[in-house]
Amino acid sequence: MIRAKDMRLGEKMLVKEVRLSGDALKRTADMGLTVGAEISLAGIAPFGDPLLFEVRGFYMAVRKDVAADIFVSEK
Amino acid sequence: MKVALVGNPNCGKTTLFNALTGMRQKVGNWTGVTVEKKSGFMLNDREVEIVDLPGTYSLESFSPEEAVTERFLENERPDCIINVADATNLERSLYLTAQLISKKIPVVVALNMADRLKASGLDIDAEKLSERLGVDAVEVSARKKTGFAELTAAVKRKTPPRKEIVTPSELRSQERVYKAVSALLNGVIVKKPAKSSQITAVIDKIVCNKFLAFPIFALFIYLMYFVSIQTVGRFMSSRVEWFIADFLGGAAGEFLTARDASEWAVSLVVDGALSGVGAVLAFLPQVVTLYAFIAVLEGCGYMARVAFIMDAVFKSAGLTGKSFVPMIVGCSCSVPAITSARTIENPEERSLTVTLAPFIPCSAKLPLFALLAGTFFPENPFIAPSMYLIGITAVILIGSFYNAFFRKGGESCFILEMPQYRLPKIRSVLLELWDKVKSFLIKTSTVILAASIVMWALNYFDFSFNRASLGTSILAEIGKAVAPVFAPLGFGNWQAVASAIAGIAAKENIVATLGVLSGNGAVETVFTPQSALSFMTFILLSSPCVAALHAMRVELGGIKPFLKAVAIQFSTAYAAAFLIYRLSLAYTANAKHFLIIVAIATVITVIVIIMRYIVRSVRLKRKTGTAESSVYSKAEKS
Repeated sequence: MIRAKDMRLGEKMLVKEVRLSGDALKRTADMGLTVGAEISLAGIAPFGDPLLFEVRGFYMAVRKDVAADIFVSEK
Repeated sequence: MKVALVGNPNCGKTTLFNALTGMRQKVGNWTGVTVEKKSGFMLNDREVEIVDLPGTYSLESFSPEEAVTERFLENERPDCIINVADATNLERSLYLTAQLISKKIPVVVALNMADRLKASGLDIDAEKLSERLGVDAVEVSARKKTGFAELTAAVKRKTPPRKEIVTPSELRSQERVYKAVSALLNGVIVKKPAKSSQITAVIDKIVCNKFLAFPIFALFIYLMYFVSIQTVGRFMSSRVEWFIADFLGGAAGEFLTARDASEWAVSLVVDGALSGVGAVLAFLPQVVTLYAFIAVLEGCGYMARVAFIMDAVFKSAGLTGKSFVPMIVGCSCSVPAITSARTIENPEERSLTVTLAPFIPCSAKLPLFALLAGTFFPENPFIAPSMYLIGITAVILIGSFYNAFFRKGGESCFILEMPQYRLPKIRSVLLELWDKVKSFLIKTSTVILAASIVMWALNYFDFSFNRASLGTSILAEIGKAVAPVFAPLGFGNWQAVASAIAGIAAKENIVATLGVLSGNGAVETVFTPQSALSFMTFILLSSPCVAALHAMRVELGGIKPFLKAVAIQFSTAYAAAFLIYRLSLAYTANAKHFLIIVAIATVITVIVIIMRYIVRSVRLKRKTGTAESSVYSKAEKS
């Protein structure tokens, strides 16, 4: 299990655990980033932060500190 | 019968609303275009009133604009809900559908952009979906205006949901709901990335590229300003102004004089009304062009990318990339900029954005910059653009300062959907432009005309209402009384101060008033090059016009935070103008003073950086501490 922030570009993984709380948890979950969802790293902003993830067929920008609390593993 | 239009941001809800009602409403590819609910009657059935609600991912409110939707459904209980679902993004769209169904209000799912899905070789089984959801599902295309008859028929049936997709207790777990939705979609649609999302990925590879992102962004901004201000602005403005002030003014003057009108009446029309309004109208062409660029960038989806690439820059100021969009909108007008800050979820961040957004010069401030830079620094093309640099520096500095010393809440989070690129509809861009032009013309013919006449009267009469000679007018007296306050900034003369006061009504008035007060536009008598620079900085950062002040008060939700924001703006403006004036004075005259000021500025900067570092590291320690402990507990478990 690795942190979503450490994924490689284009790599497809499954969300295993989300250790967020408060606004960040609610927002990500409402948008479909839940345990069991397929996730892939689609892009990185020029300064290395935020990251762009593809989840459930759309793109979602998330900061590194949030992505650090999302744990993923291979399918 | 009342129908609510509900859907995710970017699902084409507003386009559908416009198509169904024929109403003119702004359509943007940036979440938060529909900031407040709007309503209209259906074109083919006048009995059906449709209310367009702000886009939301979930019914449980997160940002204030999303709360509008929840409150409306709870309090108004509409007869039916049209749930607009993006067919190319069904899984997430149906998450909201599941929540809507639980409200026990009749729901019709409008599968928007079904044509787009088909174009990418996929198909959707609306009947199967409708059966599984327990509510009617109709394929529509808001852009091509298809499927409206079926949609209307389904809405009029007002069938309540036949079943629940998830139980009320399951509804509280996003994971369960997504699992249910995902299972439900099995066989309804073949899951494969849509063609357009591949195009989006390709474009994003370029515009969000590590090395290309900023040059491309800079190019867009440069193009925007080159075309609207340099090219169109320069070509059109002098002609419009000549037409109104000289041609119309001259004709009106002759006409009135020939009919023995008194001297003051001629002056009122020619010097007060026409020259004041002319100075402002001159500037309409470039505002329109600037608006057109922003509307296109917003409509195609590039603004979300700007937020994405700029986020890291704003993070240090305690803001997110989302705050950058209000700042770009602010280049044309601060009022929509302040209103668009509503999409920012964190209340502290939102207030900060509302306070800082007016630091970005709105287009109404540009004529002043153009006038002063053109008069005092004709050889230096960087003076006017440097105002943007000063504005953005002020945003970051004041933001960091606030973040380091006053911030109550925790770290902000930045989570944003990147919509797929789409070609903006020319019609909606034109409609939006027309709305802007209309409001500009209304503003010119009311607020600015009135302010021009008041300023003219204050300048024409003295306190006993006789014709004032230069320097004895009411305005001069007010200016003289206040001027000493601004003496340290280099523009402690009444003309400059009076113009700044006139600018509170509308920033366009500053140039007009300066023109009237300095006697036919001889601004060289009012400023030195250094004080001109200082005056520009002060106007750039001090409180915006009445309209923007009103917007600030509404968004900050109270008189106390509003006064605080105005105080922050004024003191920032005063301090920055002071620094700029003293620095430029020292730069041109006396190197000793220059060194002293550099020293002071450096000391201040160092103190701020050190304090920020301390606060940050304390906060970081707290954060990593908890993160580590949770990793350990996890390790122990496994």
